[in-house]
Amino acid sequence: MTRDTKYSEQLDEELVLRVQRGDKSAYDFLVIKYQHRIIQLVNRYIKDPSEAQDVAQEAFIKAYRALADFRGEAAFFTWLYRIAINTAKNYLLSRSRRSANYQVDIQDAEALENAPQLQGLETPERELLNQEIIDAINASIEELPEDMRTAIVLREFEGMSYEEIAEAMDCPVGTVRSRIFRAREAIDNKLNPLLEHGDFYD
Amino acid sequence: MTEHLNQKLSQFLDNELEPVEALSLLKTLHKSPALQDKYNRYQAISQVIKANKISVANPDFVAQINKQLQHEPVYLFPIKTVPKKLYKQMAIAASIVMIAVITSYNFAGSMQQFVAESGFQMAQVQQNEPAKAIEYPLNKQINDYLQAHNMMNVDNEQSYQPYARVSSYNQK
Repeated sequence: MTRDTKYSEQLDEELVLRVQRGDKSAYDFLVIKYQHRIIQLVNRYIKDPSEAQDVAQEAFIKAYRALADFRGEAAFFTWLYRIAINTAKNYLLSRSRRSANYQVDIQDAEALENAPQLQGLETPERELLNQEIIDAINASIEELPEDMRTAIVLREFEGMSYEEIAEAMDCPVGTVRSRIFRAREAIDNKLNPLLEHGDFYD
Repeated sequence: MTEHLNQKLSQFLDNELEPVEALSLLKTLHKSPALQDKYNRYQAISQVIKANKISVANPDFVAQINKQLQHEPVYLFPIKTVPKKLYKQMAIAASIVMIAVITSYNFAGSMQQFVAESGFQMAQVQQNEPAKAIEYPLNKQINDYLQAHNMMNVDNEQSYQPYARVSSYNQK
């Protein structure tokens, strides 16, 4: 287990324990931590962003209700991931039943997920804004100094830890940490004005 | 301060923040909409680099879940502190046993060396000592005395007191 995975799992373990001992607010922290990953995951099944958000919320609520049975045999995220996938599949199934009024076996959900009639489509405005954001981010990455670009790409694209990047770039871990942060800040500075008048969240 | 928090946020995003610091950051994130916006933008950057796609959470995503969970029961699992305590106690006990074993081993070693050096004299002492203990068992005398004086004095003011204590008080 790498250090980054270990840190993440230790934090999850602590937060789950807190929830199980009556600290409900600790569950908010788990939601904050995993909201993006779960929405992204659900989005693979349900393309409509607002529907995906609703299903992701439902998955988090189901996970809270099931926390009584969570004994930590698997990592929290793996467990949450399974709940999110099942919630998304069930959502697709119930929607298909509503529209076609026929029985579908749960295993068919995998096949259904790619059926175009079951996937919501984003509005043209939304798609346009998303594309603008993606272009702005890509352009900002191109403008980054070489060392910063390499550090953030190794981290985000290759999924390397700070230690591994430090080894690859032959520099201290602290330098890697700083380069990645400065890269994110530089991209964010270009991204922020675009989001001020665009509606990032709708 | 903001710069410092943003740097921590960047580390948190990469799971490179120690759990204690991450917990502290999550508390701050929970209270600060500005930091949450930053977190969302960092996530968007990450998603674009990874998959050239964006799916960011609504700003009220956490609040909506929180609202829906308000009527859910609070878990009250027992705190499992016993195993941790047991581990500590076992560690202490093991340390004590280890020290005792090492000490006795060293003591036995030095005794053997001493016996080897003084040989005959030591054997004589060992022979004499048990005999004395049998003839004059000091502990036995003390025990006899204590048993003989183990009566309780009943006094109106002093209630039950050991006899020896009452008599010594009266002498004063």
